[in-house]
Amino acid sequence: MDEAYTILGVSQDATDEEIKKAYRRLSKKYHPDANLNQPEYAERKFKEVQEAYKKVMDFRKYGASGGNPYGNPYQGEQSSYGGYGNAGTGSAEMTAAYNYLRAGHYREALQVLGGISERNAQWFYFSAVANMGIGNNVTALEHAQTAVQMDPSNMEYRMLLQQMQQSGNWYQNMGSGYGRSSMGSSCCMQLCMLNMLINCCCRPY
Amino acid sequence: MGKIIGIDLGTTNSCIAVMEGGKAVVIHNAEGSRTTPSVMAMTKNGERLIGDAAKRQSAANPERTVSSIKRHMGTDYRVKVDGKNYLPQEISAQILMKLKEDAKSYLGTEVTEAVITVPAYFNDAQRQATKDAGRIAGLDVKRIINEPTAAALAYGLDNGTEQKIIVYDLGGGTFDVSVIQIEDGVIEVLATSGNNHLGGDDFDEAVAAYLVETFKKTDGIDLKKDVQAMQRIREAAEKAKIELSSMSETNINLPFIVVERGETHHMDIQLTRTKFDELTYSLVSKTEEPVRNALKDAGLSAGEIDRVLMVGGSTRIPAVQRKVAEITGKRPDQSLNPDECVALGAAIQGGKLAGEAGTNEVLLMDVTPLSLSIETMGGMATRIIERNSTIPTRHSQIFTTGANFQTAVDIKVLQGERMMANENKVIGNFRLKGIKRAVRGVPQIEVTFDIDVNGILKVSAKDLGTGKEQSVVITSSSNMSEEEIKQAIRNAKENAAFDKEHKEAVQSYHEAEETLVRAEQYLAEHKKEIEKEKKKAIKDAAANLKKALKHVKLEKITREQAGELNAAKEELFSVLP
Repeated sequence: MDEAYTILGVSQDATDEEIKKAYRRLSKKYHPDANLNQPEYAERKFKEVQEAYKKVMDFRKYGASGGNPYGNPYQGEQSSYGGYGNAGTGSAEMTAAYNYLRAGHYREALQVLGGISERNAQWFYFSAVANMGIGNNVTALEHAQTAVQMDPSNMEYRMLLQQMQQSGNWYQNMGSGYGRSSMGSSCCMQLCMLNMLINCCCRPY
Repeated sequence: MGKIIGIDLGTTNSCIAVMEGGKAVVIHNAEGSRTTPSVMAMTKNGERLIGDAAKRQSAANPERTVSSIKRHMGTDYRVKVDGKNYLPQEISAQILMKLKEDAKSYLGTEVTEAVITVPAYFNDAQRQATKDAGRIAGLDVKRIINEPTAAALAYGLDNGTEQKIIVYDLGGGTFDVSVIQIEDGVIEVLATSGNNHLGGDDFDEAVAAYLVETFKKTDGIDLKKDVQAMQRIREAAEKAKIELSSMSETNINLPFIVVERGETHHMDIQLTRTKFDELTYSLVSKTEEPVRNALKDAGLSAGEIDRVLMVGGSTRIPAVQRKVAEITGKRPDQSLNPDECVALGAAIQGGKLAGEAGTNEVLLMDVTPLSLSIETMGGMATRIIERNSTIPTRHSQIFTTGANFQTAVDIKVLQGERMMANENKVIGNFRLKGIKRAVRGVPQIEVTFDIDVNGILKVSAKDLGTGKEQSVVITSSSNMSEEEIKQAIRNAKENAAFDKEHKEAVQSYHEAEETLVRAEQYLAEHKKEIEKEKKKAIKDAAANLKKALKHVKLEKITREQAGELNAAKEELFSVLP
């Protein structure tokens, strides 16, 4: 959501009228017809502005729940599929990453996360969870630390970091021989994380 | 850079314009008119006619005359002329080729680029079909713009003050209404609505149906199946409609409309404007809802509108003007020429795209007229792009699978406002394969809709888990494939070459006939004074030419035959004084 405001060049507490004005100004600036010497670049920027404006206005209109409430996929025939809304995670990709994490598909989550260029605290938090899921504990710890550094006030991020550091100690205490095959504890760990994730992501921004 | 011409490819009439000295001007066609009927015909002699010539002969040759083809753009409709099937795009392309030729002779240079207008309410398939028609006609279509927007552009270029307007565009076959805001050089469409199958043609049909019914009562004959009589009635109905815009009463007089059991019948019916209004009442009423919807979508009340621009020939009908005044509470503005302003707006946009002076200050921001969605579980239509979104635009949404271990999804692209998928128009279909096996709900598939400045849609789907992407160009059953377009371009070129050859051959035939007549006249007039030898030479050459002519059937004349005729004619010519 922050990104959308940045694209429009307005602050979060701008009035609807100010946002509309900024949107108009940028639309005029980036419309392909006003940029005949670089139409492709202009078209890309113009679409960005349209998307950001829609996102901000929808957010203001419908609130954090989004116009399209989060839901489970529909049931039905083989070829059909259900829709997901935007869970207040900021972008469709972040939502997708979250959905993969929730389903325990860490590799897929990492694949999605790898394609996101805007890396905020939440991104590092998700990445930490995903990395831990595939046993990449070093990166997981690093990213959990970065998440906390970027947003020290977020309790969920801190709790994850704390838990990781504790379990890290635990691993050390038990010796390396025991290793990662401790299914029970990692399962438990996942459940903990899942709980935290759900708390975190479903919290209205 | 060459000129980019503006083309209003209308249902009943088309118009072309171009920027000249910073002003948009209408281009006269070869016949000297400012608009060209969108009619194509093949004569019995195999000659192709477009425009006025085609319209004039339509009553005598209804089976080989094609009109109002725009109504079928973007559908599977085929029109059969002389045993050959044509796509709507191909017929439209032939009209465009004639317009292109007219522009070429007006400008004195080759014309290759154009801006073509379409009704704002045209869907994706109809827009694509229009663009393809342009390509077949050998035109690089620089932009497809909406007709009401083009009209607003023609109006707004000289009226840059801040205002909100409604453009009410009732053409030959389509009805559009757009709510537009003009503000410091930006012409922004706020909302648009309409009906793709409502226009002047329907008014003609209503009158024609009344004439047929009245005739059945008075003469007891049903003319409905008589193709020729119906063509004459339709023409008379159109004429009556036009007359009733300025007169309160008119007479429909069609002598010799039918011969039955040796008795000749004439049609002679009096039609008042009151009766006309009664016949077309439901058609006029149908325009109300789109106006109200457009206002609602724009978030405006009728009171906030500064002006109502009237566009399209059918807005000359007094009942239509009364209706507009009733809905909007404003006297409609008729300062623009309703037949020409759309082409003028297209020319302004063309000038802008060509970087011409005088067009820099104005910018057009249009919207997509219909919501775009994909079908999701339970036959629902899930919106990706809402109607009246400013274009170009791009939106993505994440979807997942609905069944366990599903490895492919069928993505059905829909256009329309209904909640259920099957009530919207399917404009495309494709399948994303190779999704990693997982329980339902796990795979994350990002579907992206991308609308370009022409309002034409591209759809792509990406399996975020694997990064596998399938970018898909929408192919509706009515759209032409690249191969089909290329074939149509070849056909059009061949047709044009054939037409030219055929025209020349027919010309040769007529010249040969003329020369023969001249020779016979000369012989008759100068019977006495011509020397014997000379007389024989003329007689021989004339007989030779006569024989050559006898071998030729005008409707099937070949290039070789034309060559023979030319040779025989030259021979006769050389012996004549």
